[in-house]
Amino acid sequence: MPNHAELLNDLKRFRQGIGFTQAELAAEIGVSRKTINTVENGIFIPSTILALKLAAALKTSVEDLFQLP
Amino acid sequence: MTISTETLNKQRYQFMIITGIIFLLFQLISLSFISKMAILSKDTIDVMEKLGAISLLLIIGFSFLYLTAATKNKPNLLKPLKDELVKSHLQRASTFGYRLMILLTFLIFCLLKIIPFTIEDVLRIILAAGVSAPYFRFAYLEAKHA
Repeated sequence: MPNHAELLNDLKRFRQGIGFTQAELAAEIGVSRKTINTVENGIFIPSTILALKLAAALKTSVEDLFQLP
Repeated sequence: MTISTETLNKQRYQFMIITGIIFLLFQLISLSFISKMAILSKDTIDVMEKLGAISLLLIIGFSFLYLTAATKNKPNLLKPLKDELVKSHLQRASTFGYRLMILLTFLIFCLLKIIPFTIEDVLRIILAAGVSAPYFRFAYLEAKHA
C-alpha cells in the first residue's frame, strides 16, 4: 500500500484485481493516466468526487480504497 | 491522425516553456541597466523588443488555435487535460509565482541602495517573474509526473 503522510490507498490492488490498466481506468472516469498514477503512488490526494468515481469504477467503496494512516 | 491526451499535454507544457522563455528574455533585455552595459546597441534592443512582442503573440495564438483544433468535438480528449491534477498543478504554479513576486519585491527593495533600478526596471522584473515562473513551474510539475 503506497504511503502518503495523510492518506493510504489500495488503488493498484483493486485496479489490477479488476484487470484495468492505468490508462483504461483513467478513460473510464475521464481523467489522465498521470492522475491515476499519482494517486496510486501516494503523490496526489484526490478530491471526494474523484475518490467516489474511482470507487464506482472499481466496484468497491471509498473506505476500502482509501484509509487514514 | 489521432493524437493522445499525453501528447497534447506534453505539447501544451512545451508551448508554455517557449512562451515563458520568450517573455522572460523580452523583459530582461529591456532593463535599463542591461542597456547601460552597452552589450547591445539601443537599435538592437528595440528590434529585439519588437521581435519578442511579435513572437509572443504568434506563439500564444498558434498554441491556442492548435490545442483548440486538436480537442474540438473530442470531450474524451479534452477532459483529462483539465482534470483535478492539472488544476492542482495550476494552483501550485500560481502560488509559486505569487511567492516569487513577493520575494523579488523584498529583494529589489534591499538592492535599491546598491543597484539604481528605475521604476520601469522594477515593474519588468516583477512582471517577468510573475508571468514566467508559474509557466515554468507548471511545465515542471506536468513533466515530473509524466
